[in-house]
Amino acid sequence: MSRFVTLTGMAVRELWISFRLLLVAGTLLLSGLPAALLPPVLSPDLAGAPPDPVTWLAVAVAAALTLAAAVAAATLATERRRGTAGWMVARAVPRATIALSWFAAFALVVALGIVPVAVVAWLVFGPFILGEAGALAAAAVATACAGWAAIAFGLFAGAALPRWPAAVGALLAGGALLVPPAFGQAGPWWLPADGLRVLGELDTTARPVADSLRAAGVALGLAAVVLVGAVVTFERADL
Amino acid sequence: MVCRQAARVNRVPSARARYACARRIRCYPRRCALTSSTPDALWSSPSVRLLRPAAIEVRGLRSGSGWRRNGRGAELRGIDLAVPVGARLLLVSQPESAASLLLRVLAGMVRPTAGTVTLAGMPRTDDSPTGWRRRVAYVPASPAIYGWLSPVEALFLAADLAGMGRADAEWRVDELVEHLRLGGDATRSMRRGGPAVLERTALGAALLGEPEVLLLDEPLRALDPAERRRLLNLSRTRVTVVIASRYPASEEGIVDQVALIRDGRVALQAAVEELTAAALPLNARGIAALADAADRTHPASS
Repeated sequence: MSRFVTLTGMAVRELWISFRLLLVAGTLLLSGLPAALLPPVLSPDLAGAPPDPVTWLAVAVAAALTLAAAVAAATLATERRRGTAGWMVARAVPRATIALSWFAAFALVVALGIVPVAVVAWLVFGPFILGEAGALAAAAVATACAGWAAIAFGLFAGAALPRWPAAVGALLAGGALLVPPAFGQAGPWWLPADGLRVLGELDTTARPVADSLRAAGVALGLAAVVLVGAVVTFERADL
Repeated sequence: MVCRQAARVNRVPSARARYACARRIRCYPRRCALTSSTPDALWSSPSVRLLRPAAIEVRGLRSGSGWRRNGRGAELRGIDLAVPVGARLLLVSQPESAASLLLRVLAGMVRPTAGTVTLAGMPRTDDSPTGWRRRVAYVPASPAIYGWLSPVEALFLAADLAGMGRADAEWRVDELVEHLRLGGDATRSMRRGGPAVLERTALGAALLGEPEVLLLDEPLRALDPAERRRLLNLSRTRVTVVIASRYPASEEGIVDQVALIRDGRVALQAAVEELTAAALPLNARGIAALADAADRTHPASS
């Protein structure tokens, strides 16, 4: 466990020094801009009307999480390629610990990045549009969980592919996973990114907390499954 | 006589305990590790030399399938190799990357497609935290440690990952910084220190855990020859060292055995004295000539 904590700290420090933490966290923070800049009410009930700012907020967050997944993929692929992962393995660190520590580092950044976005959204829209604060918090948690699933996809790609193919693959997979629900496209209940749909439709969703918690559970389950796949792939990779 | 405290708690003692034990009862520190408990007197005795186990035993090892798998085009097509404990083996190969590939396979960086490997008396399939990895250290040709770390930070990180306590780590890192002559570079980032500092640090991190087997791939190329020789002349007799090198002549005086990998197989494994006896120099041509001579003498063995 202490090795995991040490490696997670190293991963966060590496992200910080290489400006990738700034990129991921900064993009997440910038995704709150639609909430801050667009006018709060744009008659969303009219047919053919453009998406309202809350929907744009969800789309921006989905795009930021997709970018985080791509960065995660490129990071793990680079760690493999340049030999830093090999240096850790030569120190008798299990490969699974290395992969999980990178996941923990990215998950931490995503979780901490979503909090200010939710706070900004609450301050801008307020309870008249977003409903209860608990609903927004639940939607934010579900969104973070969907982001973790996307990061797990990214790490899976990074464990299997070279840097650029892994980043592009994660970008495509993450985009396909996260962006459509953010536009409010309702899908089956097992969609892991349903939290983004709830976030984008907080003003109209009937049961936001229940839907968010269900989506969070599905996303966490998917993240766990994909993460196991990433670890297994990383175990078999040449370093 | 073994380290009683270590035996009582039935675990590998800390580095400080081993050295304290060594000073107190004048024994070799490594012996306190419960995995190699043979007394030194017996160990160095010629009569039991034949009983020495192999530190590295490789049977029918195959790995690599060209550029796709390892990116270097090398391939191992059935390596059989036994390196006795305490040997200093020089690995030379044709193509040159085959020796590096073998070290990477031995170090667990590349998965073999066939064959068995035993390292420090333990099968390579035992991937448990207390398995062979604790006893084997590997230094790649281009060590990759985060450049923003200073050597001291990197050594403390290696100590942390090896499970050393803080006090043990401080003591050991101080010792290594002195041994590696890092001087003022010890606390500056390795990116600013250059490749020589990086290579010294990588060697230090490898030596930190007092490995039984040390795998060195083109080690310390950024250092001047005298300093390189000083660092690679490891005084501990039981550390088995395998050096993959493209410049065998630079390893003179450091190694006592040579092995040639040709066409993915071990074409020769001999003592350096055999080269000297055949009036051949310690370089790639000399080793290849000795292998050819051995082929002519014993064609079946090749």
